[in-house]
Amino acid sequence: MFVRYLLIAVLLLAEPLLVFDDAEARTIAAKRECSICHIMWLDDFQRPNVTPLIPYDPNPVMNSGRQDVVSNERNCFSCHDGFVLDSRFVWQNKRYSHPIGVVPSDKVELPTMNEAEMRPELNLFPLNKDGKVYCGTCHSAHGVDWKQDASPVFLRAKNIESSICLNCHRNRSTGPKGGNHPVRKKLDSIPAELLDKGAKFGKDNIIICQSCHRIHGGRDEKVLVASNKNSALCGKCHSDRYARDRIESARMGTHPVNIVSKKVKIPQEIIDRGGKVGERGEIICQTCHRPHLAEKKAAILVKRNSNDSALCRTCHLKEGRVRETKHNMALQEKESKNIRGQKVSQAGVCSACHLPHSGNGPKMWAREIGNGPEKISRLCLSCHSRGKIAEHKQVGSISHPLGRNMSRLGVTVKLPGFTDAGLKKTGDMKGKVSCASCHDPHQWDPEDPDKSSKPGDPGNANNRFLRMANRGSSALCRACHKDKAEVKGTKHDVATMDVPAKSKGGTPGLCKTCHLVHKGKGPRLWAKEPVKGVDPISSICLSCHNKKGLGKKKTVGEHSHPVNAPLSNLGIVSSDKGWVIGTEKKPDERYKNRELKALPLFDAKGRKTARDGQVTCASCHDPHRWSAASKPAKGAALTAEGDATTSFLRIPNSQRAELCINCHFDKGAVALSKHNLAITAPEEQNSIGQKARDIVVCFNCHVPHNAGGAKLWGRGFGPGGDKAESMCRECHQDDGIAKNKQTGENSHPLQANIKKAGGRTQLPLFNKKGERRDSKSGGRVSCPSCHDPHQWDPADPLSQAGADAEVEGGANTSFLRMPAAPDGALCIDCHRDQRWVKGTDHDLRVTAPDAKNLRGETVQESGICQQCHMVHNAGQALRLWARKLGPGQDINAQMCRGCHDEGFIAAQKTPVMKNHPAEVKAQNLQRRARRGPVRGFTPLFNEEGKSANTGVISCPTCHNPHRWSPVVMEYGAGENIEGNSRSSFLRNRSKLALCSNCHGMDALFRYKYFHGQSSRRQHQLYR
Amino acid sequence: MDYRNRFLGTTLPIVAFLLLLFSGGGAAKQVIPLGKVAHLFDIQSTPDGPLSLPSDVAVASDNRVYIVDGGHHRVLAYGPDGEFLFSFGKRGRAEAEFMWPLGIDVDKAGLVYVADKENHRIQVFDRDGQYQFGFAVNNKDGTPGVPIDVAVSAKTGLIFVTENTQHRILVFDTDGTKLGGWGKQGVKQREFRYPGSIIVQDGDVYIVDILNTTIKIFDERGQYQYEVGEWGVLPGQFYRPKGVAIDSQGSIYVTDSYMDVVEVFDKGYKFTHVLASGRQKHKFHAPAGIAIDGRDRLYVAEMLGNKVSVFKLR
Repeated sequence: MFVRYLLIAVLLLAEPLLVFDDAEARTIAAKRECSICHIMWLDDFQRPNVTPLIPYDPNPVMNSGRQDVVSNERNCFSCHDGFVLDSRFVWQNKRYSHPIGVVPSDKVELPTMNEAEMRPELNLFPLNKDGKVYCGTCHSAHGVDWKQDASPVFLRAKNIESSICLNCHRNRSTGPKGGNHPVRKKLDSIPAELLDKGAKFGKDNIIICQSCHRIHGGRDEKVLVASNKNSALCGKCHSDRYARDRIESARMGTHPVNIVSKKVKIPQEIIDRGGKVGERGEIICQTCHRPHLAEKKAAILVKRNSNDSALCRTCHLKEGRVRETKHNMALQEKESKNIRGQKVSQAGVCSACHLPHSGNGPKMWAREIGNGPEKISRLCLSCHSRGKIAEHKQVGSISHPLGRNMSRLGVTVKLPGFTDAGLKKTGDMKGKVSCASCHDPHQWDPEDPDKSSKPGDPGNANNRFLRMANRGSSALCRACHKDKAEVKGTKHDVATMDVPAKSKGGTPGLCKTCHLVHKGKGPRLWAKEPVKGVDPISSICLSCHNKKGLGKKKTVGEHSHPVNAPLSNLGIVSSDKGWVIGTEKKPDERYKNRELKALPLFDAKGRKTARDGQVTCASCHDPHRWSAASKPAKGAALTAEGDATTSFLRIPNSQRAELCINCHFDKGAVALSKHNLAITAPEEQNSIGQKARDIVVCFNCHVPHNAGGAKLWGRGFGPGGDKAESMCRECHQDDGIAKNKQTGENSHPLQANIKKAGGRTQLPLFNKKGERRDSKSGGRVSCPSCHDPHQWDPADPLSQAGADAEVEGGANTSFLRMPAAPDGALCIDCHRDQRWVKGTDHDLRVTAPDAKNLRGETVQESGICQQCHMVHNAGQALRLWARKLGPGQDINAQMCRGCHDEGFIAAQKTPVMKNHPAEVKAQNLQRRARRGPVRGFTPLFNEEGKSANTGVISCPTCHNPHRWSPVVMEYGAGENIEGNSRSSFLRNRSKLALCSNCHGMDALFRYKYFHGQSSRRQHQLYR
Repeated sequence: MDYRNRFLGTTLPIVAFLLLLFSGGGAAKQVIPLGKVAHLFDIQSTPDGPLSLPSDVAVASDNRVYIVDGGHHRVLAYGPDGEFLFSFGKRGRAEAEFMWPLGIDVDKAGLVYVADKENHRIQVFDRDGQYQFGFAVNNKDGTPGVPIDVAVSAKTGLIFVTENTQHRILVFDTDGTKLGGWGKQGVKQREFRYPGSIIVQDGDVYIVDILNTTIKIFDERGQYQYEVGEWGVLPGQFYRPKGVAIDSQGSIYVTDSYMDVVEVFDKGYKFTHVLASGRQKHKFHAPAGIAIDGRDRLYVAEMLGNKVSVFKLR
């Protein structure tokens, strides 16, 4: 202790001698500066009587191994934490820094110091005491000049454009030929995102190691500057090749990445060669590419892909078989070049058609894309077109349609469709039909995929790059056209016919006998020359169903159901939504609950179209299905004679005629009437010998093919002035099955021109042949003008009241087109001038509701017209008079006085002088006999009671019984009122009036004298 | 000074030192004075995950805590008991975005000042993190400065910023107008080698002079007052001083980010103790910014611990 005190005393004595000025006191000693890093050089660690805040440990064991404390990361961080220098990014993402604590692998070449430094045995980049990489391996405060701008981070060597990296990783700088990603290659532009993430590029935008790698502060394995999950980093620069799904792939024409293919399994060979897959097994850029240490001269691919496309075929095993087929350009067209100008010998078998990058659209097409309705097909047509290398294998102008939605098939199929983007879609009905739907261009024979083919080899329905063999039962066709498969074994299966079918262009098969997929002859890819002069669809049917054709026993005859006819004629509107009766604006209320099944209609080119389509054979017939009702027993469809439920009909036709009334919906009520012969005459046969009880109700009178005439008439013809009348009178005649329902001698005139009755009507008119025509085209009145033979009750088509042979019809039923009672609507539809009788005294509903006509009907039962006129079986031919005649000197007067006389219903309206003097025979010089009566002319009547130039003056000479007033055209008042000279059913005014012609100005007085009891008594002139 | 004096001045201490060295085998080893503090809790997570390299912390008068979450380029706000409130800012160069922020302070009005280091600016937000204004930190020669920390005088409202490319203290008016500054690189009283954290307390400006390993104290006009601590690894010495704070009794707390300790000096600038947990000095993990609130709670930003640890001082 003494010594210690002595020494302290010495120090105290010497203190005044320790003279330092202020500046000297703050001068930092070199040792202190060293100790800024070399902390263990501080003397205090060696002093025995002090306790430093940290222990003395010059070579601590760190996470990177035992090493000098000066190079441990805590020492570095104590300055590089942002407060002195800022290297926080190193610690922010420390797991993605250059590895430390590891022994350098054999892929790394550690350089030694050069001779000039006299220490060639030493590593330029030393390892720590455990032989591992540590911070000090690259960093040292004693490395390069601190002021060296490009290398300011205490590196042991200069780092000009990643030069320091290459000291150890020299073998990664050899470029693509050496199996490495290019460095020192100039980029046109640098992705801003990379710069933002800390990537660096050399002068003039050249790629350097640090463009992809960030030694500290990286964001992914391999100290990558950004995450390379699913090749995202690659995609930053190679964005034009970074197609992250199949849609992008198809759009960009580059191989997709980031997808897991169900079809392609990445083979182990790829992995063994250094290829990688994504987290979920996705194919990524590195699956094919290895940015470092790839095979030399392999363009940094994991496997050389030169002329035999070995890498492509490693994954695409099935497609690789194309090499042995005629689609191998090396066999087909050696000199042809892809869009890179490469021959197949340069590009390889795959890249002759597909480029993994920079291709043309879908399938990375390596050739110019052709024209076509659908993307994938255009690829095929780039060769299979005029002037192209497969010009001799074109599909012709009539070929299987392309671009149609597979959903039209209505069922899932195992053949692929393709989207608008060019993506394959199988089994989900989402794609469109393409060449590649049926063809797999990579295999010649689907049943033997390894089978080779070479140019010139003949193809057949079993190969030709088809996806399925198609010979015999046409399995390929039926894969999509499942609904057509039922043709097999039917009469339309030509293979089963006695007569061998010869179709042009190939070996017959179930489908191919009639249809040629390519180079067809007509609509529906028809394999025969279609018949001309009819619609396209019917033309192909008739190509067999003609007198010389395969279907000669089944021709349709001269009178057959019309084809090429629009549905609108029937009051049906067809659209994609289905068939509806009437239009939206004008629906037919009578049938509003009637649902129609949409049958196929076709346009002028034979294509199915719902809107504005035309009826063709195929509207009613499905040529591929013998029976829509049930599947016939095997062979039955071949031998059986067809009936209304089979015969390839789309809707089975029972007695109720479901197929017929699906279009002729307004005719279906016939089944509920006595015109259904199954009810009234079940044993009656139609023209082809079918009994009414056995057949479709329509077929009693109509047959769709081989009919006897207009209206597809299926019976004989009775007497008549036109065919329409003859059809009716086939039954309604003396020896007909409806002999009890004849019209009698006095009946409504037929073949009359409607012009005489008023000129227009909505009722149908018919020509001599029984065809419906308007009056200008020769249409005349016939039985069906007033009668609709298909419905008993026009107001209630579904009424079954007429379904009895004995039931008597009335003015509202009787198959009339519209009710005749009580307003006489049916009659006045033609006889329009007579309509004003309604509501007048001559409307017996007003004056004599209980009066009855000759048939014993009241006005309510008969209607207003038929109280005086009977359409059939009238009592008088003249005016088809329906009432008893009264007294009188001529027939017209008798008709009038059948009411206007004592004892009759209009006795109070009886003139005193009931007849004009009969001896007066007048002649009306104004009548134009040839051209008919002049308007306003007062008629005279001959002895038969008909209007004539010369005749007697009778009641109708002055009276028009259908119109109350000549002055006003209006209905009657609906009550019995007293008339005057401006009413009283007098005829129209005329300056040529017959009375005044003879009687001059005295005519009116005479009239009043003779017609009015009171005037006759009171007037001074006639007392 | 003549040659003899110089000889004596140098030789005698050496001789004495050698004698002390060889005679002191029986001397008692110095004991590190410890001052026990109660650890309250750690702030180390947000709804988005853990903190990343928190570098500084500031506490408002209402005891709301603001932390610079530098690795995430944002500021976090916590309640008095450490409950997460909200965060603001993200990586970027736009208004209210940050690039490697480092220091922070809150003024008496509750405005939050952030040294947005790589954006070369100070950004100011209200207590709810809404951007108020910002101003650039430029050097005298017009080059962009690198602000390390910012402090606001409660007395004058002046804003003091440490800038470490030219090793200066910059002074701004309350609206961000630059008023002047002092310092340059060096070792003298008004010189710095990497000025780091800065606080203003009762008119005195405390600046951590990192590589000069001392806490320099100036008045608000830049007049040198005193300095605390010195170079070394012994108690009362610093190796990498980073943060400084003063408690209610005037004691000065200094973090050392290499030795992982917080050393305490009394208001007479005399070293008193090292913060301890139990009988051992408390070992932090790269402590940097530090703050003490009105309740004498100590908040220490541990950068490599990715947390802010909170202690009750008394």
